[in-house]
Parts: sequence; C-alpha cells; structure tokens
Amino acid sequence: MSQKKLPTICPSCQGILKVQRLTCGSCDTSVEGGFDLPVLAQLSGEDQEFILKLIQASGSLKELARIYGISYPTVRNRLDSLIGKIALIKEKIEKQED
Amino acid sequence: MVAASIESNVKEKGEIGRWLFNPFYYLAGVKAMIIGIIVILITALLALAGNFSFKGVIGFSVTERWYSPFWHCITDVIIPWLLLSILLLIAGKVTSKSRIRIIDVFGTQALARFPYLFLAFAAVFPGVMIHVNQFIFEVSLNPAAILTFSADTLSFVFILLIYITMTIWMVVLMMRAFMISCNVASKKAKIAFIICLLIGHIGSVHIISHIPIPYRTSTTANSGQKAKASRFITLLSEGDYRIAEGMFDETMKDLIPEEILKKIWESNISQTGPLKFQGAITKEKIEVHDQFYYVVKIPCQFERCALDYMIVFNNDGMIAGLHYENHYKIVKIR
Repeated sequence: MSQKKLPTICPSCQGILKVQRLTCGSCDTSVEGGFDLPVLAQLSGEDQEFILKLIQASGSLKELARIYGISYPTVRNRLDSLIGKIALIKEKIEKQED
Repeated sequence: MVAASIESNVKEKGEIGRWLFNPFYYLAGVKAMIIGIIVILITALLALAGNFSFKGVIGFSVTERWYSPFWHCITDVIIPWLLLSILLLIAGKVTSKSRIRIIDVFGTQALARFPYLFLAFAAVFPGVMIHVNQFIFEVSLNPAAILTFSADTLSFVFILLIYITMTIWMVVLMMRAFMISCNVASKKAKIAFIICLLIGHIGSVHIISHIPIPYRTSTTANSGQKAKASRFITLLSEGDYRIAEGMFDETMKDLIPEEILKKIWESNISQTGPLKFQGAITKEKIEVHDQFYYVVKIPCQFERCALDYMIVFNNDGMIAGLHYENHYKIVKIR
C-alpha cells in the first residue's frame, strides 16, 4: 500500500493546516488541541527525503551529489531552492499568526 | 506492467535528452573540466590536420590556415574558452545569490564545447575542405555559381548546415552551463549571458590576432619554405601585417617594417584587386656571395591581373628578400 501524503495546505482557503487530534495506534488514546505542523512536515516528500539524505551524508553536498548521481552544482541549487521554500513557509506562518 | 514499462521508457528518453542538452545536471567540476579540455584539444588538433580554424567563441573559418608553430592551433580554442568562462564567472557573481565554484564555471563551459568536435570531424573528412574552398573561390568570381549543383556546392552546404546546427547546440549548452554553475534563471541572467558571449567572441578574436608567433630557427629551418611562403602571402591578403613582418630577418624588418609592408601591399591591391588564389609554388636554391638562399616563386592571381611573388629565404628559414613581377596566366591549383 502506498504511503499517504500529509496535506499541509487548506484546499478551501490555501491557509496552513494545523493538527487538531493525534491518536495512539496501540491503545486508541486521542489527544486533541491545536498543534502547529513543524516547518519540515510542510515540505513535499521529495524535499524531506533530500534533507534526510543531507543529514545522513553529514552535511556534505559532495557526498549527496554522489548518492543522487547528479552534479555538485545541481545539488547546491536544490539546497538553495529548499532554503527559499522554508523561508516562504515561515513567512506564511508568521502572516497567519498576525 | 505495460504502464510501468512505458513510464521507464519515457524516463530513459528523458535522461538521454538531458545528457544531450543539459549534461551539467550530472557532470560538473573537475570531471567536466577534464573531459572538456580533452575535447578542446582534440578539436584543435583536428583543425591543425584539416587546415581550418576556429575564430573566437562561435566562429569557424574554412580558408586554409597554416599553423606555425603548431601550438597556435591550441590557442585558437583555449583562449575563447578561458575568456568566456572569466566573463561568465563575473556575470554569475553579479546576478546570482548562490555561492559559485570557479571549477564548475570553467569545467561546464569546457564541456559545453563538445558539439564543435562533431564540426571538426565533419570538416576534416577527406576532400571536404578542398571542395568548400573551391566553392568559395568559384562564387567569389561568379556569384551565379551558388546555384550550380556540384560536389563543391554540396560540400559547402553540408559544412554550413553542420556549423549552424552545432553552433546553436553549443550556445544552448553554454547557457545551460552558466545557469547551472551559477544557479541563475532570470531574464537578467540570460541577457548577461548574451552580452558575455558577444564580448567573449569579439575579445578572443582580438587577443588571438595579437599573439606573437616566433618562427623556428633550427637545423630544420630549410624545410617547409613553400608552406611558409604561401602563409606569408595569405597573411598579407588577410591583413595580418604584424605576423607577416615576424617572418622577416632583421635586415628586412629594418627595410620593410609593418607599416611600410602594409602600404606596399595595399597599394598593390588598389591596382590589382584582391587576391583570388595562389598557383603552383616552385623553389630553387641559389648561391650569392658564398651563401645559400632559397627562392620560392608563388604565382598569385588577383582580381585584375596575375603577379609572381619571389620570396627569398635565408639559411635560418627567415625571409631575406621579396620581389614581384607580372605573370601572363596562372593555372589554378587550390
């Protein structure tokens, strides 16, 4: 069965979704409240995978380029793009809080 | 299963397309630099073998060129690559917010030149350049010859098509190389690339035309006088008076420095019209005051008349004398 993708943006008003309820898979205990989704969780699956691999490569872009089989500048450009995406998400969160 | 196979097919074709039009996605840095320099050197050696040349970043000249010394063929391709890379590095620093590695800019620009390797292979094919030069000569005398269906016309069209296709491909690769190595994609960056390309092309042509070319003086100085004499005439016809003066011995340089050589040639041309072709070259050895000289006679067909140029070489392979006289009729050799 394919993994479900966590929705992060409201399909109605494009606002950022919050977590309302968390449930324990073992004992069915539920916790309700208003929890903000962490910034990393709001990125696409591919971007999260990229960040995980970067950490596993000890932050070495050269190593990451070798893992992905692409060139160093391609990896660096992807990282720069990711930095831009995270900045946009943070800006959106701050606007929503205001 | 069919869908998976189609998807894998599409993915494979996409990868092939990427390798052809954006190999820098996979290859940059030192690897790209090594492959690129090998490509550039092979291109230069093919130009040396085929008697053609690359002018600037995107230029290609089919007129015969004699490289002396041989390494001059390498400067024709290395200098445009270096100059364009330096300009793009500066443009990248101005237009990009990312950190740029110099090795990525230079390496990807070197690799981007590989389409001209195919052009060089096409031009070095036996007989192609002879037919192309013949076509150009025929059309210069009679523009209607452009419509003649012959091996000369086909060769010219073949080389022209290859040149246009490869140049477009190479420029696209150069732009993609700039965009990936400097992480730029904006309109401003594309305009900066075009400006750098133009400055790089004009600048490299200018720099190369001013490189001094020393001539060898060694025990082998007495060989190749026919080629040297032909090159001397070619240099005069192309306006490279400084390089032509470099072929004189010291006495000739004092008697006929660059400015005077230019005046003599231009004065001749104003009466004879431009040089059309050189005829069969002959050489004889003469003795004057116990010294040996080589007199090379080149029949030259100009637009309005024919002249025989006698170029005298001393034992060091330098031009020690120059004379010309009228000629009745020249049989075209090349």
